[in-house]
Amino acid sequence: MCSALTGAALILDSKNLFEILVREHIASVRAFLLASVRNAAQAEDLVQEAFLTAWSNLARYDRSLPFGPWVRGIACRLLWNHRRKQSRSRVTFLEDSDLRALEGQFDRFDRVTGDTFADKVDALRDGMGRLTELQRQVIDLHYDQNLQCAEIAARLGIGCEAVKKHLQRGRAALLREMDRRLEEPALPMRKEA
Amino acid sequence: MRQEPLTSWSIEEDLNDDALRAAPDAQSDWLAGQCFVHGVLRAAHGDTAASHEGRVAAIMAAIDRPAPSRHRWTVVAAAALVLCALAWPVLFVEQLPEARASVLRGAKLLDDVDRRFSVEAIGVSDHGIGENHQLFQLTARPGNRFVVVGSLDLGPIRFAAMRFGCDGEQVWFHSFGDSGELAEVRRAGPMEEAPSLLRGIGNVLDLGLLDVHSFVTQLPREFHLETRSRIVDASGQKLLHIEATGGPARPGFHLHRADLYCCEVTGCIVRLEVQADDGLGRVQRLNFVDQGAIQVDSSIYRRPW
Repeated sequence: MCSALTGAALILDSKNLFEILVREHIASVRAFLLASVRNAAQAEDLVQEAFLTAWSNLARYDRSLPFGPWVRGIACRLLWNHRRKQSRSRVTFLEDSDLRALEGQFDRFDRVTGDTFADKVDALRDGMGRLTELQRQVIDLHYDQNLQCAEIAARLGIGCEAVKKHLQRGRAALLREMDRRLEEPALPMRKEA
Repeated sequence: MRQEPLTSWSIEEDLNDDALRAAPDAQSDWLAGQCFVHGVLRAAHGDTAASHEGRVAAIMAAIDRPAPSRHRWTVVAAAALVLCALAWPVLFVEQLPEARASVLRGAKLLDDVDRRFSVEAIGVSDHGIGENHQLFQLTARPGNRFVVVGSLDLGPIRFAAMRFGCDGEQVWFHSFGDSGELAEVRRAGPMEEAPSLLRGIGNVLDLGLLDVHSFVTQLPREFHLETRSRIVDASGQKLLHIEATGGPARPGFHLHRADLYCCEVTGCIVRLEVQADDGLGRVQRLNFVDQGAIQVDSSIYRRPW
């Protein structure tokens, strides 16, 4: 065998390894911050800050534990720090208990079957089929077409409060779909013949 | 570094309601669930491979950058303005993801899993005409654990079914005539003896390619990598074509080029094409097509007798 191409796996340097971890977990950290921070620009800045903090504290990371919850925990602490520096209401409208519950939701999302964050999101989107037509329309207009509640209300000819209710019920239904998937046994993998 | 236009659009539009905040503690779980779905859908919206790569690249670049002094923020701000002005045209040109990162990501997804590949081996003469064409099924796991199932053919004539494998320590080869006309052959030995054990069944193993994980992991170190293009395959899957060239020269068969096709969504390497020659005009092409992860007992990599 060609010695240079075989044998033990290449020992990657820590920066290469970290890049792989960033690539794997950035979407979930970003989703966590977009879910909790008022200003989307601030959320994007915090994503970067969270990974830079993780990099500078990599020696403290317990490698026997999953990386995703660790870096989301860092993001959460950064969020608390920002909240201390600024007025609470300018950073997030969530209380500490809400943030802890939100971290718990993302930990559960990690367990959804799928190689990547996009695969897991697809699993969540599969639940769209269980929404009512109006809920589906409202979710689509809000998240895919980036319309605000008042614009959706005008587009659909319904009241703004009704749009908010459909959004909330749609999100609740998607969450139930994720819960249902987590309760299902894992899909069997292809078996050796 | 922001990769996409930001909007003022936020979950508080429909959830930051005093009535909600006045709700009891049980409401916290409900609110967290709402925010969770919002964050996931919001993050998924417009999250293209390019914007994803941009965010990763920004973080990795920031790691290399020394922290700016707080007292020189005006200098930093001025530099940022200049940079923005210079980078303006670049930001609006679609950028292909960085090849090395894509390959490492593909290698990572091969880690700690048994994967199956269909392998097409084509021996080509110095005239560029396909001379010999064989198909194998490869099951591989990192750590030089693999098993290849196929047949020993000479042109259209099938001589014998064969399989060979390696359990990380010992290489084995087993062939048996379908009609019982050929004697059964069994060979096994340590990996160092692989060339002599497998003499006569081609150069597949000589190239060290069958531990696909190890091969892909080492590509960034030994080859020049470049993302050539973004293509869409027949099933509508978006693939990045990465070209690996300039591998180190070696005696015997020299692997000088590999083409990897990585799925943009999953990061998986779905196709790997490698080309090697013996310096005398004989060229060997091997095309690996990923068939997905499978669940197998580790005993399949051990010699079957």
